[in-house]
Amino acid sequence: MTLLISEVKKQYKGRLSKTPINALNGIDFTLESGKTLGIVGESGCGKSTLARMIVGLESPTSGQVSWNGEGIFDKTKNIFKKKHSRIQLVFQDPYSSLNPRQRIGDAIAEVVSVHNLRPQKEIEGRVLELLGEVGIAADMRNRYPHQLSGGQRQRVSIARALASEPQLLVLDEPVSALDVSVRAEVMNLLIDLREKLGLTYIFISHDLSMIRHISDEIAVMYLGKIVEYGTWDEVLENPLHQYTKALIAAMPDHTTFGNSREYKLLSGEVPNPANMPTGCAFHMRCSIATPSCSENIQSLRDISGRHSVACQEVR
Amino acid sequence: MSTVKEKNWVNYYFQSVSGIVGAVLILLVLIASLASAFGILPHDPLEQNPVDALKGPSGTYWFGTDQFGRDIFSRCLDGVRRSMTVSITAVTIATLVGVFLGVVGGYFGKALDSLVVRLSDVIFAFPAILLALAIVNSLGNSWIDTSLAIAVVYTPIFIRVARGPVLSVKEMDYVKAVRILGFSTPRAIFSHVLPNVLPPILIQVALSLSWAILTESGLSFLGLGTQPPDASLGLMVSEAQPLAAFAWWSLAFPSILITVIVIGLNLVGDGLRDALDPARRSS
Ligand SMILES: Nc1ncnc2c1ncn2[C@@H]1O[C@H](COP(=O)(O)OP(=O)(O)OP(=O)(O)O)[C@@H](O)[C@H]1O
Ligand SMILES: [Mg+2]
Repeated sequence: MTLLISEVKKQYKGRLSKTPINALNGIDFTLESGKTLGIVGESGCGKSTLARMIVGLESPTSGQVSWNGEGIFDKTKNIFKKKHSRIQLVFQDPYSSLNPRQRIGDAIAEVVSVHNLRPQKEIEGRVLELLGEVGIAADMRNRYPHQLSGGQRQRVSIARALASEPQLLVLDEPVSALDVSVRAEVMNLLIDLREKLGLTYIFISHDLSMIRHISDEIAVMYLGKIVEYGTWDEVLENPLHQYTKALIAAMPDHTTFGNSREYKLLSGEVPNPANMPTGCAFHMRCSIATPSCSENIQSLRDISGRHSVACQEVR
Repeated sequence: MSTVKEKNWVNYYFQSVSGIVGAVLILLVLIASLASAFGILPHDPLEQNPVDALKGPSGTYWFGTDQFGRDIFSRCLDGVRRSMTVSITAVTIATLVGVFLGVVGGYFGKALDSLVVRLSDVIFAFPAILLALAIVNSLGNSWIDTSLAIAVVYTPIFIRVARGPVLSVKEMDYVKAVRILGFSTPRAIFSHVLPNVLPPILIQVALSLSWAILTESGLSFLGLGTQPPDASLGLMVSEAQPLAAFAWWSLAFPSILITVIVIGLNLVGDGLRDALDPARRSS
């Protein structure tokens, strides 16, 4: 089983101006089942847009998304509609991802019963089993979301996603909204679940330090494009793109990686996705940019094995 | 920790003074309507006793009699029943149709939504009582015609009250989650969107019931609702006008009842608003 994303672009109609917003500008990657891909990038670079597309909430303006060889969009029509989806999403905000008027156990039971995943009389047992799997005590089954902490809600969201027996779980900043003290617990839960259930993850974050504990591979996104892709140790120990280096320099414990002491922090603003820079989108903030960088559009190039970069200055 | 006693909105409702007073008033009104519906009245509301015409309130005639010697108390109860029947029928239709259109328009958006919004704007453009007048004029004077007329007038209010919250609720992650989980659209709407837009709709139901009472009274007052010799609060006020100078009771009691019902329903609306809005709850 493979997730295949090829040449995916997404343009949104501008809310006020007529110029379209380029949220995704050609995303290409493949993810083998059982692996975890970490996607990192600044706010607004299109991470959530990509996540929504993979779960079928949003159709690409152009390009292909397929899981298991099956296209998720058939002429922009979502094939998951009315069909039990093998790809689920865990949202960032635990306060809006659960129906405030539904008991948490009922939310999970609904998934199992709508898709007939268990005979009627085994549903309740399955609900308690799923709650147990994410570390929620059985006596909380009849609680409403507002009676839970943020961390507990996020566990319930994970259980609800697992209830549909997914193969691929897209995690869109699943711990960013949580207290620092519970982040590690939820991260460990996700790692345990992956081992136990043999799940494939896409883990999205704006924080490299969050991603490195869970990812096999890392994709660094900038303005709707992947600028560097590789195994996590390659990317962290031997980053090639100036943007990746800047992200590493911003990590609290960056000194433990390679020659990260020499990396420069980012300066300047993220360009407006409604008014894309010419050439390499990063050239205005890049310390090694040459005049031709503002002319030549960059796409991912293999440097070694599974490490590629979109930068003409890297050789 | 296993037994968290949670207060639901009903508990909060009965903590507010306006809620309790309103509920008591409306309960009395409903009992009166039921009494009249089952014919448990001191006198026949239609029976004329010329000898007893225009008598003041007394032990026999609690609210006095009118110019035909009919018992005003019995006629008032019968009028309350008619007003409540029309008002409840009208608001039920308006709620069902309005909420359906508002939810469907808000949820699906696009052309369907524009159509729904256009429709409610057109109805809104007319003053309520004039529109009701025009509809009753073309339909007829039976209580069902009156109810339909009032329903048409109040439908756009329910469209607006339902549509607005649907626009924000459908953007919530839990509604997106339902789509990712592959649930059907009716399930998304009825199990996940509707329960979360219900509070403002319930409040609107209480307020609209009181406005509908006034509209029904207004139509009857103008001679387009209930027809003589049947009793309706509005019609009784209208018929009492020439008598009021020397038989105050003929005008006073039906007017007071209209006021009591309207205030009662408004108090219920206030109570609901406080109980359903967590921010207004006084711990
Ligand atoms: N429905 C939409 N309509 C118009 N523009 C949108 C829409 N959704 C996202 N965008 C724009 O697309 C770009 C990418 O947004 P996206 O939410 O994918 O970013 P992100 O990387 O997830 O950011 P964050 O870290 O803040 O969550 C942004 O410029 C955003 O304003
Ligand atoms: Mg996001």
